[in-house]
Amino acid sequence: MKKDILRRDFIKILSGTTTFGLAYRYGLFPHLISGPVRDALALENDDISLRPPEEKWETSICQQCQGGCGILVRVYGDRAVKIDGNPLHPINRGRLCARGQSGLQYLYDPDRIKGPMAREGARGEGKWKPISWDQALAELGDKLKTLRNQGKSHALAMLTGPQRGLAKNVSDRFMEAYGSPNLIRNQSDRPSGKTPAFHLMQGSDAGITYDIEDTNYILSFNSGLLEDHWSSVQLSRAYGKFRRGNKDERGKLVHIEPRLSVTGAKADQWVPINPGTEGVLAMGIASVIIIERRYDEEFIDERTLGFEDWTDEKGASHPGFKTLVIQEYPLEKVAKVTGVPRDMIMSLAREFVHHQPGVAIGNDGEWIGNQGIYNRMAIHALNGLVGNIQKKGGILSNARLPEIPLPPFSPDPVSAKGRSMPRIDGAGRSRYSLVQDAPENLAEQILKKQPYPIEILLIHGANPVYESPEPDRLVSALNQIPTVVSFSSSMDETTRYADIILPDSIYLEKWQLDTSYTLKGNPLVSVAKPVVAPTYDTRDTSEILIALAGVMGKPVSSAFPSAKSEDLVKASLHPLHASASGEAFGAQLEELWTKLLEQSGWKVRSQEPFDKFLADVQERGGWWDPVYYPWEWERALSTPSGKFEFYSLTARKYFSDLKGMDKDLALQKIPSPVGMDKLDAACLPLADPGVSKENDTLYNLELNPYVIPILSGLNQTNQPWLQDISGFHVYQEWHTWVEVNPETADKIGIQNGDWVWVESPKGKIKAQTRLFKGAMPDVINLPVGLGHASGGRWTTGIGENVLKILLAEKEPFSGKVHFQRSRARLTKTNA
Amino acid sequence: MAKWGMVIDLDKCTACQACVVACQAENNVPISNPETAKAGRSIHWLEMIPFVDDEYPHVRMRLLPRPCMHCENPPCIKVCPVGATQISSEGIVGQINARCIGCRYCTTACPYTVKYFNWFKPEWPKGMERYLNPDVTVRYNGVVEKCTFCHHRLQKARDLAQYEHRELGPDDYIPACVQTCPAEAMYFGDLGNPKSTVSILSQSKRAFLLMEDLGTHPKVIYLSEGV
Repeated sequence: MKKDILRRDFIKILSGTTTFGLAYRYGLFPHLISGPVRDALALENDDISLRPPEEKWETSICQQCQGGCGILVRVYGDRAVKIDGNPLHPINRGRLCARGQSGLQYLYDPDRIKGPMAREGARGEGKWKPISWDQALAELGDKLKTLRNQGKSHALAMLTGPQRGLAKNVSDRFMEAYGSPNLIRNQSDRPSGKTPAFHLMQGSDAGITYDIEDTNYILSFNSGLLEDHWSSVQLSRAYGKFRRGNKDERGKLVHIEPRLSVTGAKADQWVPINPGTEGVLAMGIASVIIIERRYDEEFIDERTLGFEDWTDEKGASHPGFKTLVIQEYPLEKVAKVTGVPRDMIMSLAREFVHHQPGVAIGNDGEWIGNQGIYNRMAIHALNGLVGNIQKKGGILSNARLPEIPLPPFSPDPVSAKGRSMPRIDGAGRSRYSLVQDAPENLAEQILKKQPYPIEILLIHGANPVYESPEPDRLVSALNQIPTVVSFSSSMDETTRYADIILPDSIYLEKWQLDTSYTLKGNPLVSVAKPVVAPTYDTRDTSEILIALAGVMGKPVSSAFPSAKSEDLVKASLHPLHASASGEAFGAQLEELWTKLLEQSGWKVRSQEPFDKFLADVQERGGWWDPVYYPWEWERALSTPSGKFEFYSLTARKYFSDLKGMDKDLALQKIPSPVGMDKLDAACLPLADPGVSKENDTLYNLELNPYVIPILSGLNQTNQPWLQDISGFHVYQEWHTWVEVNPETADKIGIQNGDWVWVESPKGKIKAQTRLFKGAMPDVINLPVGLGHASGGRWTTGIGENVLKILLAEKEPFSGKVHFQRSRARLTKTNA
Repeated sequence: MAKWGMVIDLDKCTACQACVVACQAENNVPISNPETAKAGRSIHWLEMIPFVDDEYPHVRMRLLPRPCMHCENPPCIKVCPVGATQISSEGIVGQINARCIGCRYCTTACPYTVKYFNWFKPEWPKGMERYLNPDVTVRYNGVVEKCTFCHHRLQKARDLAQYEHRELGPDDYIPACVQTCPAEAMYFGDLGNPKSTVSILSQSKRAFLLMEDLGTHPKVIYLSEGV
């Protein structure tokens, strides 16, 4: 058989040689020549230019979302032709999602910004002229230097997306050396981060994770589990094992959401629920568990605070979780608010307890779907009730990340003075004392010039004009700032309002140092070198910042020991090597061996020289610590009481420290249950459906927005592979659709495919009707992620920006903006 | 002689569509745009198909990744007037693009609708052609294309095995979709070998075939959701 195949190949090659040979020589359709033909041509002609180029697989880190997957890139000569998972990387073990695969279209996007540009004409007019890097850096460096010399270093602000590893360290260092407190990072709310609800109840600042792989039961409260979780690959791998691993029991998934999503479709049971009421349902389930005394008494006694009513050290008594649940969430009320029948709430509660270890998961999404802090607390309280904290198949808190700092330096007095100024976004003070960043306040503060005006704004990895609930206000805020600099690699909505664009290279073109966690709580550090040379005249933003520091000269420039990311990556790895913990990524067998050795007392200590360590880590893609100790309670429960707090002492301190108007504002929206002090209520999981489902004759429908999974987390959406499959479940792509229940459509008088105006009290957008039986009657679903005003041929003007018609609310504690569901109506229109 | 086949475990599958994109990247499938999509002419060798059943609130949605079934008795080859689509001795149903006259009989004959006609000249904007896979020939307009189980990978794997003087191993050859599957829900191998993973899984009581009653004998086997 083998001979047959070879003969066939040979004939194919011969027949191809003459026809294609000539065409190839004249440079016609070179990509029509397949590998074997090209090889044969090279042999026949002995022409060195026709020989196949060198081919290799290089390790790198995917940055299409924040998942932190390790990748291998097939590099053919000087071009990247395929991306696959790195089999040694503990996050994804050789697997990769659609977005990861699509990285090639991000790299070779023809609409990328191809070099530095300066604005011509008015802001936002879209007229640009190319400038050289030298000129751009010199001009901006001079401005920065002048501002600093005027003693106004604090008037520089930098707005970034979520950053980790090297990118984070360099931005931090740049702002520190320059002397500004205003590094405003749009931090993510994901479990692997400082999530407010978990911070209030468990304290664990390194974030928590769900042990999906070994759990028996998942009670998913609109969690976007299979659609919008980081890393989606890691989650999928764990999900596969949850369903069909080597356990005795096949894991069961129950999904609660207003619409039949992919997670709902894959679940064993889909429970439709009135939009926004998931937290109330969680409290209903809690009431069944409490009344039937099915909770974990041992855990509640030993490791929780505020389950029963309790008395503080001053002798004041406070209501507990139990009192709140019994008093405020009787089953009838919960059934009425959520639309979930009483019997079903009871059976969900019993099943959840019966199938332990199981987990209750809510939504930690960025701006859409996030249930708000009190609803998240209510859902997380279920985990406390069944005591699945720090258990296999339960909730694990992430182990501490090792230090990977830049080499130390000492800031000068100018820097110290600038850094002592209050932050422009107010983070870390009064109402925002619990958060490190409050980007949502930026527009307002810039417009008010409070506490001082901003002179220069640097924007990197963030596109607030698209995501803002008030884009116009943000644009006028940007227009107040004399100099706005964007590092974006694509012409996104925010970059349009910049004065100077210094385009960033994308991840495949630069050195990277990245940190993340496995779903088992193991910390890891990934390392990557560029796999291809920059496609266009772009530079790594870290190197741009260092170059700017260089233009300013000493003392700012001395903050960086080298101008190259490569040197900084290597320098940052020294402390990791010296810590002698963990190891370079390896096959799963090696991981088992390390665990065995360490757990039996033979701690593996790395004694290899640094060069060997560096080579290993680079070749395999990174370092991690495969050993996890679940009994480290002081890290898992690092609340003021050292316990799982149903009654959050952190929240109590937060409210108690507030004064005057700030306190009133913070407590304003919190309902006060009968006979309960408002301050007490504000420290408990007071789940609240928010906007109630009123009888509104003008807006007769409920609008439920959701994130398009395939576009979630992307830096830019100008990727036709992904755009083409965005709405596969309703056979719709390349335009915004609205999912309507067939009965509801009948009532309104619209049919599948009809164009409609979707109108909320805030505004209206055009969408195409898709009849979908997985939509609840009178609830319409709208996909979020389309409707970009700029950014490239496969994203500009594709669909509508749904955010325009959604109401937004600022969350207590964090000030984060959450887009809410809204009332809406549909009216027929023309295409 | 190997009989290449695939098993897709729907209980593990998360419908993430990684397979869909991996396939397009590997096989130089022409990229789509709004007009092409609207005309129903986007090409997906592997596509995620939704089946919505029953009525609210008991509605069920099934999501099936659908590559070519590589039927043992393929209807497409019977209607081809020029022998452009054929089944190999190892069971891979291939398309010889150079021989195809674009009559589209096969696209009609295939009950799984896995055959795609190139209505337009495939074009990549300047610079984007750099990511094209050097192992796979780009098709031209007027011909039909389809999933090949990434058979160029089989050729490479076989060459390598021969060069290293060894037999082709069970993991040497897998298509791009199977390689990337995040949930590890896709399996690929020799259905002719009773000890292979795919053979064992195909005997599962959860196993089913698409439109089995047509007598096409698909070599893509699904495992249903649930216990």
